[in-house]
Amino acid sequence: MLFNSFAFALFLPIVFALYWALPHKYRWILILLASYYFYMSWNAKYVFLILFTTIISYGAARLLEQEEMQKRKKWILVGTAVLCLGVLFFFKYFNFVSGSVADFLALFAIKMNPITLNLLLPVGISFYTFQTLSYVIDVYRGDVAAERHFGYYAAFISFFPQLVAGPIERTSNLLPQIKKHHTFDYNQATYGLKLIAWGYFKKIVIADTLSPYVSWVYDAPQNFSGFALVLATLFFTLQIYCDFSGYSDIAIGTSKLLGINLMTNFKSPYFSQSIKEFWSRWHISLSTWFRDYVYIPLGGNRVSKIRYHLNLMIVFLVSGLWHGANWTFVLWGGIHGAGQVVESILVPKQTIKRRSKGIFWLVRVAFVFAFASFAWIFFVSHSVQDAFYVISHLFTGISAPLAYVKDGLAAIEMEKFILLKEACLIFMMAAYDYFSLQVDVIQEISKKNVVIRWLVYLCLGWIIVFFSQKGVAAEFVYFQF
Amino acid sequence: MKKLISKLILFAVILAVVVESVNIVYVKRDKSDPNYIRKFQNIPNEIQICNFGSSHGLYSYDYEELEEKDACFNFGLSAQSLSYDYRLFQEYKDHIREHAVVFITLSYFSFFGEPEENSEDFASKNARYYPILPAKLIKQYDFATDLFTHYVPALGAETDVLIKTLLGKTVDDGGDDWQRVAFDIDVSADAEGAYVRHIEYNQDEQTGQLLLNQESVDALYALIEGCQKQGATPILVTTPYLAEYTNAVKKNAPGFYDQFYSIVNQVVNDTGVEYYDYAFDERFSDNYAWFMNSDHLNQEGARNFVHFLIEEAVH
Repeated sequence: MLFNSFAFALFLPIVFALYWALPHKYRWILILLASYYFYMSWNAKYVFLILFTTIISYGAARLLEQEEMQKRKKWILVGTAVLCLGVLFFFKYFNFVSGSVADFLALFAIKMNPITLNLLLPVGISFYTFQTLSYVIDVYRGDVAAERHFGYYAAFISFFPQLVAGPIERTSNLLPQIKKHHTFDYNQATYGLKLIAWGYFKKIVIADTLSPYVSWVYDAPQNFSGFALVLATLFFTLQIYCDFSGYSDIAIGTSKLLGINLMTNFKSPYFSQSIKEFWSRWHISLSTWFRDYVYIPLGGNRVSKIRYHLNLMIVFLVSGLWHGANWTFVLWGGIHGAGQVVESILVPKQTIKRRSKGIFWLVRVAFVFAFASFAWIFFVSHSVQDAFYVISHLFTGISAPLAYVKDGLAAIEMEKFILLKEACLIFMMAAYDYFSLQVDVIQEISKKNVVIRWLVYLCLGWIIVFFSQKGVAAEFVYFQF
Repeated sequence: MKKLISKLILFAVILAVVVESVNIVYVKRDKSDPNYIRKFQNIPNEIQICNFGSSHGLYSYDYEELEEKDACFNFGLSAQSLSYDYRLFQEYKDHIREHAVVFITLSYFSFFGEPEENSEDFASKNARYYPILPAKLIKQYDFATDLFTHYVPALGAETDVLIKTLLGKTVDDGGDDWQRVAFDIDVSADAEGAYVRHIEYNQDEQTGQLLLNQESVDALYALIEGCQKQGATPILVTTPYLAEYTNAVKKNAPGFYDQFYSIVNQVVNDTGVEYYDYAFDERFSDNYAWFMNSDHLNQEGARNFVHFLIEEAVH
């Protein structure tokens, strides 16, 4: 079930009404049933994978709590990680590893037919596997107590607003909220609804309307060159942000309707002044996951400089691989890792931390935006070859700038009128993000007088209704991870 | 909670009023007809001659020069399947009077290929039937599409079309193509492209065998039977093509014609209907002036074709 589907438009009010009508002690049952129904509406069979992961991690955490011998605890942790990650590996990485081994052997003239599994990738498997792992690791470290109530725990793992694309929640934030007795909070609910509306704006008005141009170019980049490739890359930079942060907004807003606060996942990342800052603003739940469970255990920055840089590269390469079983994702992660390493070598720490103003701010933001856009080329390309083709043809024909721009627009068949419309919508989104650096925009609007704020809400509703991409509801990009 | 619900209802009502206001203006100003379905608003009550079919049906029959033009109707729509021919017949059969002549257009792709529901463009193709057919006759009916295309068409319109229409600007829906002549295009390349779309796409990727679409064959039998029950005379017709098109089929799929005609002959034998094949008619096959591309007549060609067809199949 997609957030941008009619099924969800029926599902959410029903869950909302039942949730607040039920006594607290039965609400976890509703969350669990609703979450499993939500997931099964995509593929009923794969719900057993969530159930399997839930049972394994629940049992492991209970064992970890009871076990006193550190060595045995370690084995329980390793065993659980192997089982949970094994499922992820089997569904997501088996074909990739098998194909890569065959390719590698071919370099030495050893012919091997790669074994491939014809399996559909379970939606959200990377997200709930990581959430499960963080719980088991937290229990192992003694940071949280193992949950005794299986129902609460299962509801925590499968909580439908964030089940398929995050935010990847931490036990200490979400689980206590599921267990806590909530009373209906009008302000929290209205804030949630406004966030949901903003999420829909980003997803179906911006991301989905840019998506056809991106797909058209990146499905066969060899048919394009010059400004068409620049535009498609720029569009993807905006599409992926609006798509994913739009999903996060809807997820966070939906949870607020149920009285639950999820963690913030995006904080205006394209206004970052350094690559390091970009990663503290982009997909925060994943970045902090890698920080807490990979980077810090590797030693973080409290090691030699070389080791610190190596740690950064490891984290970003693994993060790239987390996104998808393709070398393009590994390279994408590698570029960001290398970017951070170079940044930490060339730019003094104080400069990275310092907040620039005026033209310096603009230059720094523009640089990070350009860097992120460049890296997205690898993320969106179907193959490494395609990515290198795009990079090598981005500026073809730029010696005649007017023709370069005109031909690019003609090649992607984008009318000036549509370009203008997209530019206005993107400006709206950028303005929201810019002001979010200082204030909570939704709160600020809520403080305005009734005429102004209702006009804003109606305009947003009107834009969502009329300017959305027409046709079949498009999946969210991050569902494939 | 009551406060939230009452505010939400108020918001929804105001938004609905705004949306409906825009919709009213849009419907009033919208003169475009990209799917050629406006004609169903003026369907004659006593149809004497009509035709079904895909784009070959849509573009090959122009009844404007006939005396009985007000009692003629073209049910053809681009890429329309035989299944939808039959669905349209079911809905509009009461408009077809006794002893009417019904031309059922058979194209080379009519009997072959996977179910149309599997095609990528099915959703957009299917959406055009919402304003002209009841829910029970629409494949994979869903309320959202109905809402967008039927009740609030402004919601289903592309943003540029919506704004241009609201501003009173003319929206180009490609209607001028019918006036084009085949001299203006590379007919051989067009024929190869048409062959790929009409035949190669309908072959099994592994074996290269044509995939029989049983639903289409069954729909043809049902349509013939329905016409006969209505007291009308169904006539099967394959419309004229340029030689480049038929040659491309012969060259690339030598066994195709045997399969196509064996099905047509079977239907003719089973039902007793007549079949008129203009695919190789020399009056058309190299007459570029009557075609807009390798397999579609232009308006002049369509008028001449109807003239010949009435002369040879009806009189």
